[in-house]
Amino acid sequence: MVKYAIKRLLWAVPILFGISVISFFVIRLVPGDTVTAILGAHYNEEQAVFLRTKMGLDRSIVYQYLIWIKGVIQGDFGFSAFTHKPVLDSILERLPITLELAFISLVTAVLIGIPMGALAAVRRNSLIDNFASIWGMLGVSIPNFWLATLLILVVSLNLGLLPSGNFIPLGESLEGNIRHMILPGLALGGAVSAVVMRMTRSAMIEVLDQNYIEMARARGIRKNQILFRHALKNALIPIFTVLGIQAGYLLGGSVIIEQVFSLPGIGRLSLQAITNRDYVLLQGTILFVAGGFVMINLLVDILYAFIDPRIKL
Amino acid sequence: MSKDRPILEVKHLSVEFKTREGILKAVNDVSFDVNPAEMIGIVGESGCGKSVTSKAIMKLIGNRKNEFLSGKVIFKGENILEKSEKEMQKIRGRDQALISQDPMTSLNPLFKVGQQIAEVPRIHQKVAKKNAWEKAIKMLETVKVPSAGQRANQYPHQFSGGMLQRCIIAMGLSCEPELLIADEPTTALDVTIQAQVLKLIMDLKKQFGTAIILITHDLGVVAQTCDTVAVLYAGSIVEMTSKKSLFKSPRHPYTRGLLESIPNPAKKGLLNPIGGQPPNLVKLPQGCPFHPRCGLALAKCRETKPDLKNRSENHRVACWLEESHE
Repeated sequence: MVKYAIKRLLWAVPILFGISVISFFVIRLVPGDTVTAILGAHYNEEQAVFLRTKMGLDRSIVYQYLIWIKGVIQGDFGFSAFTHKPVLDSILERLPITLELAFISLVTAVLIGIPMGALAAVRRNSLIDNFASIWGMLGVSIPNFWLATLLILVVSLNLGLLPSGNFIPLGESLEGNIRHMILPGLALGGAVSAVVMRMTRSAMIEVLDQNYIEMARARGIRKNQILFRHALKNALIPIFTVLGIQAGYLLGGSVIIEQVFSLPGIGRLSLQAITNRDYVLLQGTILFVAGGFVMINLLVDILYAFIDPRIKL
Repeated sequence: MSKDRPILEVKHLSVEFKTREGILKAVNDVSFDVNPAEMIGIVGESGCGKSVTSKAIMKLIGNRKNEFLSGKVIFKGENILEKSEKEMQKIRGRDQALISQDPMTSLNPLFKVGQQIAEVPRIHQKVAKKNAWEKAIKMLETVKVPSAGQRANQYPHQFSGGMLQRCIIAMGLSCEPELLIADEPTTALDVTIQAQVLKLIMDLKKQFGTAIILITHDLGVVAQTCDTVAVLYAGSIVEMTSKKSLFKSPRHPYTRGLLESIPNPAKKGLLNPIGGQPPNLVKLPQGCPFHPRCGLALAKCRETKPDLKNRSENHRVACWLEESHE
C-alpha cells in the first residue's frame, strides 16, 4: 500500500509538470500582459518597456518558464506584482475557504445522493424513483451559477433565511461560518448530488441482482441489513470513483460559486489573477488545484483497497 | 411435531410470472411431501421449474408485482405462502436453508467468510458476536474446511469453489434447519470435488437429521444420494417414485428418455437423446406438455393433460399410456 502510494505520488510529478507547461503557455496566449494590466489607463510605451525588463517579461518565454519552474521546485511560487505578496502566501491564505466549500459541497452531495440513489434502486419505478430521476436530470443540467443566483433570490432575499454572501472564518464564529457556507455548498453540491445519486442507483440495482443478495435473503437477513450492509458496501466503489472525478468539478466550480457568494477562496483568487494577467499567481493556483485533484484521486484509489479485499495495491 | 408427519407438504403449487410475452407458467400444480430426514431429488432439464419450486418453498419469489404463487406450501404445519416477509425472515436460515448452484457468487465478496457464517446464529439465535464467531469456526470444522480458524478470517475470493461450497453448507446448517434445499450444489464443481461435497451433504444429513431437497439435472447425482425422486418437465411433475424403482422401471416416456441420454460405456452405438426442445413456458402446448417430443403420443395426449396418479405402490406417473395399460 505504501509502495503504491509512493508510486502514485511519483506519477503525479510528470502530470503536474505537464499541467505547469500548459497553464504557463496558455495564459500567455491571452491578449495583454501583466504590465498592460498594471499600467491600465496610464499606459505609455516607455514605462511598459521599463517594467517588462524589470519583471523579466522581455526574456524568451522558455527562459521565463525555466526560471519559474525552478522556483516552484524550490517551493518559491513567485511574487505577485498585484497583491505585493508571495504567491504561496496568498494561496495558503485562501485555500482553507475553498477546501471548506468543497468539503461542504461533497458532504451535501453524499448525504443527498447516496440515500436517494439507494432508495430509488430499491423501489424501482416508484414515486421516489421518479423524483430521483427528475433530480438527476435537473442536477446535471442546471448551471451552478443559475442555481446559486436562484438560491440567493429565494432563500436570502425573499425568505431572509440565510446570508447571500461573504465569509466568516471558522475561528470567529462557527455558526456564522456555517450559515454563510450552506447556500454555496448547496449550489455547488447540488449537481454533484445528482451525479452521485445516479451512480448509486445504477450500482445498487446491479448489486441487488447479484446472487449473494438472494443468498443473504435465504439466510433470513433483514431487509435493511441487506440493503445498507451487504449491498451498499458493494456499490461504494463506483460511487467513490465518481466522487473522485467530481472533486475536480468542485474545485473548478468554486471559481464561479466563490464569485457569486463573494467567498475569498482560491477560485476567486484565480479569477482576479486572470483579470489582472497576474501570471505567477494564476500559475500557482492552477498548480495547487491540479495537485489537489491528483491527491484526492490517489486517496480514492487507496480507499478502494479498504473497501474491497480483492483489490491489492 | 409427530415423526410421521411430513416436514414439508407442497400442495398444488403453481408459480406464474407476468412477462411482456404473456403469462409464463414456471411451475404448474406441483404436489409432493418431504418427510423428516428424507432426501428427495427433483430432476429435470434447465428451465423446467426446479429452482423456481425451491425458491417458492422459501418464498423468495412472490414478492414482486409480476410474480404469482398459488397452492399451499405447508412447512411444519403452517402455510409458508401466507407468511409475511418479516415472518419469513425468521424462518429462513433458521428452519430452512438454501445452497445455491454457484458457490463463487453465493457469498458477499466484501465480508470475511467467518463473518457471513456467524451472521446466521447472530440473527436467529441472538448469539453474542464472539460466540457466533466461535460457532462459525466450529461449523467450518464440521464441513471439514482445514485450518478453520484461519480460513474464517479470509475473504471468499481466497477460497476454491469446493471449499466455498463447504462454507455455504456450513452456513446453511449453522442453525440446524429442518429443511435444506440444495439447488444444483455440485454443478459448478469438478467431478472429484463433486463427490466430496455430496458425501459431505449425506454425512451431515445423517448427523443432523435434516430433510433435503436436492435439485439437479444430473441423474448420476440422484442415483448416489436420494431416497425419492420427482421428475419435473415444463413445470409439472411427470413421475415420482423411490430412487430404486425410478432407475429400475421408469414409466414416463420422458424419464425413460432421460435415462437413455446418460452415456453408458458398456453400450455400443450412439446416444439416444430426446429429440426436440422443451416447450416455451409462455405458450405451453395443450394436453400433456411432453407430447410434441413423445414418440408414443396418443390422440388424447394432445387434448387433455394427464393427472399425476398412483399407478402402483408409491409410483406416481402422469401419462395417458398408463391408463391404456389398465
